[in-house]
Amino acid sequence: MPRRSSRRSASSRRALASLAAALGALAFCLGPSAAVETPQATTHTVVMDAVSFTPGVLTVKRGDSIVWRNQDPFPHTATSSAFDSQSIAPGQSWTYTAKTRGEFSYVCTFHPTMKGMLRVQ
Amino acid sequence: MRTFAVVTAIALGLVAAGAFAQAIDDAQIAHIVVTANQVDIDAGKLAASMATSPEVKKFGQQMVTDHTGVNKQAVDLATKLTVTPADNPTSQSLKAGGDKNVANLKTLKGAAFDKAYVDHEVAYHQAVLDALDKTLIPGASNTELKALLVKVRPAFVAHLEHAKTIQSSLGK
Repeated sequence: MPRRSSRRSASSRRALASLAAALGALAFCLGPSAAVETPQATTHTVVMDAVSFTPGVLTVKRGDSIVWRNQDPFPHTATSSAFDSQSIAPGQSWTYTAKTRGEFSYVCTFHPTMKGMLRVQ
Repeated sequence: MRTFAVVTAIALGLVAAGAFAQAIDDAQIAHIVVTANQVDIDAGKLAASMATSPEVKKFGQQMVTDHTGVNKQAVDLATKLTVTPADNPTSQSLKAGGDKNVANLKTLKGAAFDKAYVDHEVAYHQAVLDALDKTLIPGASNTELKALLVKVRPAFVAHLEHAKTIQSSLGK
C-alpha cells in the first residue's frame, strides 16, 4: 500500500509540473502582448506657488507619477492619508507614484489654507 | 490695551504709507518689504521660544521660516536690480511698532502671551495686506518688484487666515 501511494503522488507531482510548465509557457506568450496593452505611466506636475497647488485637482491613473515642485521661497508639504512628502524646500521637488485608487484630499501641513485633491483612477 | 495701542500704531504707520503713495519709490518699497518681514520674524522668534500653546509656538516658527524666505527673495531681487533699499518714515514706523510689540510681549506669560501675540499677528497681517494693496503694489515701478509683491501677497493672506483660526481656537 505505501508503495502504490508513493507512485500515485509521484505521478501527481509530474502532472502538476507539466501544468506549471504549460502555464509558464502561456504566460511567456501572453507577456509581451499584455505589456503592449498596458498604458504607459505618465508623470504629472503640481506646482506649489503663491501658497497654492496648481492644478488644485489632478486626476491620474494608478501607476502614474506626480511631481510636486515648490516654487515658493519657503517650504511646503503635500500631505494626505495616503502620502506625505514631508518638507519640500524652496526650488525642490517630491515625486509620488500613485499606488492606490481613490480620492485623496491633501494639504500643506505648514499652511492649512493650502489644499489640493488627487484622484487616482 | 497695550496690545491694542501697538497694533494701532502699526496700522497707522502702514496707513501713513498710503498717504505718501505717490512719493514712495522702488528703493523705499524694497525697504518697507524687508522691514515688514523682519518685524514679523522678530515677533515669531519670540513666540517660538515663549508661547505656551504648541500651535502658537509652531505658528511663530512658521512666521520665521516664511518671512525669512520672502526676505531672501526680496534682497536677491534688489541686488539683481541694483536697488539699494532706502530707509523711510514708513519703515521707521514699522520698526518702532515691531519693537514696541516685542517689548510688550516680553512682559507677558502663558495664555496672555499667546493671545497678545496671535491678536497682533491678525492685525499686523491685515495691515500689511492693506498696505500691499493700496500702496506697495500700485506704487512699484519696476515690473519684477511688482511681480514679487503680487507673488508674496497670498502668503500674507494664508498667514492671516491661519492666525485667525488659531485666534478663534484660543478663545475656546
